[in-house]
Amino acid sequence: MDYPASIIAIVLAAGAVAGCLGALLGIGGGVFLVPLLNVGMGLSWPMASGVSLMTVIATSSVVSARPAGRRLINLRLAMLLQLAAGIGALIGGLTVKGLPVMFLNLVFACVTAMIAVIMLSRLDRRNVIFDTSVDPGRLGGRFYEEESGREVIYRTRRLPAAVVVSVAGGLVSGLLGIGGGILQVPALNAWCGVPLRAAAATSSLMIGVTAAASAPLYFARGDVSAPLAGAAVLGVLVGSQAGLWFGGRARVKWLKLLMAAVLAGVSATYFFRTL
Amino acid sequence: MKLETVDSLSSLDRAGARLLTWGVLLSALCIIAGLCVWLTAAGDWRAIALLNAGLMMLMATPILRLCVAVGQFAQARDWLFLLTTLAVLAVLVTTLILAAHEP
Repeated sequence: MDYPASIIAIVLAAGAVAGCLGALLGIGGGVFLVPLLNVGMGLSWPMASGVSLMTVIATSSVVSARPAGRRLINLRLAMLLQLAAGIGALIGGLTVKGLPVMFLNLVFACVTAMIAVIMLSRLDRRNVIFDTSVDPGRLGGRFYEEESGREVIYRTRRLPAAVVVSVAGGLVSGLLGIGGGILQVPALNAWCGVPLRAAAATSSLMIGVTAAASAPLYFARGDVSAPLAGAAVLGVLVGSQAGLWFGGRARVKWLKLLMAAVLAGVSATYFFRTL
Repeated sequence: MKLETVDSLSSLDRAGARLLTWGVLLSALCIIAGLCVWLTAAGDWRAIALLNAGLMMLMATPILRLCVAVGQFAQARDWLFLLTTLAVLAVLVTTLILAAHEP
């Protein structure tokens, strides 16, 4: 199919915005890009997802490679939840195909709205422990936090909650064509004691692996338009740098507000799709 | 030994980061070249070949990063999480095989 330069430029710009927000919040740009490409540009749902998955992989790789993101990644937590998400996706792909997408959209809209409210209710609560003699435990972590200018520690609590959310994230990701990051990052932050930046970086690593598990299928089925995906990926490479730059400087409270706003927007989008 | 939990994984961490950086860089170069050819001659097979090569490299990068994670846990002698990472790889391969056989 022939795409004029103007279309390629628009997709590149959309990729940049998705990459910026994705890198900032660790959720991958799919939740913004899929509706935009589908509704805004008239691409079919699988083709929009195919392009989106490529941008998620690019965002993930950029964030996980840069020192700013890499130091915040909790590799043990990432692998544990990745396993849960992978099993969830596998179960979803095998069994729940019969569920009406309308119903899933509605459930997803409700869940994201609920998480947005939880996020807002915890704006001033912090998960970081300033006493560096505290043992972070096997699943905890430590990092240098610029906001307070010191090394901080966190412990992972309520691991079963994180595992359940990851399985659920894996389930919906295959069915709705979005990454599980939008559920995992807020859940890790609100329930499991993981600071938002660490949750975002850990999720960034995971969404790349999750997307790499489904992208080859879209690719093999011919649902990945090479020029559009290429343009979106280039946009992401620029946008994610901007996202990392903001992420290092923005206050955590501001990031939480942004996350809540994104969740509310996503919730509204999926709610209206059920009407 | 409080630092052990987090820092024992860091020696190969840099290798993992380098892998991601090079994966993205090489795929970006292919994509830029491919898009340049595409904009001069849309639908040209060389443009498609370059773009597809870039996208394939992009998809392979996170999977290779998992292999580095296996090495990181081996180096830290953390067998539980080494097994976890191997299980992640196994689930990933199962998903790909199942999907490839989908009608």
